[in-house]
Amino acid sequence: MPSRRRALLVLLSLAILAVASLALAAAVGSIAFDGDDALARQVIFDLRLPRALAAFACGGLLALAGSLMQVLLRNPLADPYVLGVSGGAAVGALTAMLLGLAGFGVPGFAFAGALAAMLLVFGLAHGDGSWTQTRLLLTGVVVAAGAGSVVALILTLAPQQSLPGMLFWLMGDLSQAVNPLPALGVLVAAFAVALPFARELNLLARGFESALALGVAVPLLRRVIYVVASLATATAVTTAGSIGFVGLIVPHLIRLAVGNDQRLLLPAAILAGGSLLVLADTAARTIAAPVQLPVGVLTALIGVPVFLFLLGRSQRP
Amino acid sequence: MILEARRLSVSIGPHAVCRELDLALAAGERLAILGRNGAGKSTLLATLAGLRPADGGELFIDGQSYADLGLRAAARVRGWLGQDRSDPFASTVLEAVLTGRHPHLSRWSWESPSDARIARAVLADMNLADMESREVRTLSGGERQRVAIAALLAQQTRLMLADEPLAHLDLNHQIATLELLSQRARRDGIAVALVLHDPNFALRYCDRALLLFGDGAHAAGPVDAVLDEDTLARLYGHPVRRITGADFPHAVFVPK
Repeated sequence: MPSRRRALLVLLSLAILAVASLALAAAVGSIAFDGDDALARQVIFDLRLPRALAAFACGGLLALAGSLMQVLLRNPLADPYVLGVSGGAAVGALTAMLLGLAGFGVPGFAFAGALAAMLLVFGLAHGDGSWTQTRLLLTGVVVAAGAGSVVALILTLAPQQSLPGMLFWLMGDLSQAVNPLPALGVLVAAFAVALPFARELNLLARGFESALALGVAVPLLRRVIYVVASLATATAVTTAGSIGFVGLIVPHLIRLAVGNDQRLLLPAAILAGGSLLVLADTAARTIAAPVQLPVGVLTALIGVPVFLFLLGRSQRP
Repeated sequence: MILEARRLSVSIGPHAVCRELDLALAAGERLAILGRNGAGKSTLLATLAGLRPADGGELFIDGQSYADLGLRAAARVRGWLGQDRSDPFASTVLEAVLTGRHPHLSRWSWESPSDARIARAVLADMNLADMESREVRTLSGGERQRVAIAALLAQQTRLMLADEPLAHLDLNHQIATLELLSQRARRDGIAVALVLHDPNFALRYCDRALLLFGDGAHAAGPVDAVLDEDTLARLYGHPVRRITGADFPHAVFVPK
């Protein structure tokens, strides 16, 4: 159990990391400035910073949703996408692309698809009122698999020229994220709803009945967590496509580093997830510039070795 | 009365656990709940703990129903030890025991030094004093059981409901746990209800026994009155012999 002072120190360091990653994202890019202040200001404030902030918001949302899903399902393998929210969003987004909708069409359809998946899983899993974590997990996995096959069907039917856009969306793509404010707003709101329940989430992770016996309103809390995690995921996926890995690996990184106290884990995961995605996106648009790599590929390429290193270190006696 | 059940009926699906059970536990009293596997001992205990609804009857904790008490206030009066020991995430022994302090903390407060003192004291009581930094999942089954009992003690409730508290414990720790719970019952006026499998422990460490026969029938009363050869043979479906002698302060039941 981290003391309050240690928790603040950890959060302060992660906040510095977040600011540094945003500054790096604003400073680095394919355009080199040589004394042209007006152009520099325009590129930084109209292009790079909004995109970096959107990346931070999406990374934070995914890490928060992943942490909550792992507690909700009492399963370390859970991630924001395990219950089919991103599958629903993918079906929505690709349908919009197939119909040739532009502008708000794609994110609008994606969000609608995510909400539909969320309600479908909740309705099916809750059917008999028992709502066990196994039933919820199985329902979510089946809905996600169904959405996956619909996505494959759309990809097969789609005209050749729309395929790259679809594939980029599926792998996660921040180049469409021009306005970071909605995602940042949802991030703040989701965190504000989840944090007051942080100690109760610690108990929920240990077992539902024991949490109930310790005074936690378990059924209500599980519903709140499900909705918050789903909306956070839906927002992230709507903003930037299905960026993999952040939601699974960041909560575990934080757990390995500072333990499983949700009071520290939730804010730390948000800061770390946001920073990771900002760094990954900065790398994605600079490594092979002017070609942009899908950011989801880079989150995995950064995340896997870091995670394996920490895992190996923590298992040493 | 700390715990009072009036005409309480409990069932699991079509299977009746007890019908119209009247039960009262006063401060300092220890109750043993005995019965075959699947008779519904855990279900009844969870009902007494307010974790699942009864089919009928009334239940009072310190004179109030669970609905009137509310979840948080109930958790300061009644502690419940379940059988589940699965931990999907890592945690230290001290963290696990501090969960018992949850009902005593307000929403934004963190565990204080006095909470840590309470947790360390119960760890010492459970013979786990040097283990507070160990990861719970690296412990043996019996050690994890003692950590769970320590968390129950840290909750500092006037009513303790423990489902098979002796599971996985060696003989030494079975006796030590029963001695400790008996001592707490006497010293702090705590009412204790234990699901047990050994009628001899019930005889030696409990004041009263509740027998669930598995068909909805039950028997309850002082241990000396309720526990005899015929009743136990009927309860377990196996003949039992009662042995007395100058060497035994209590009678001893052995399976034939």
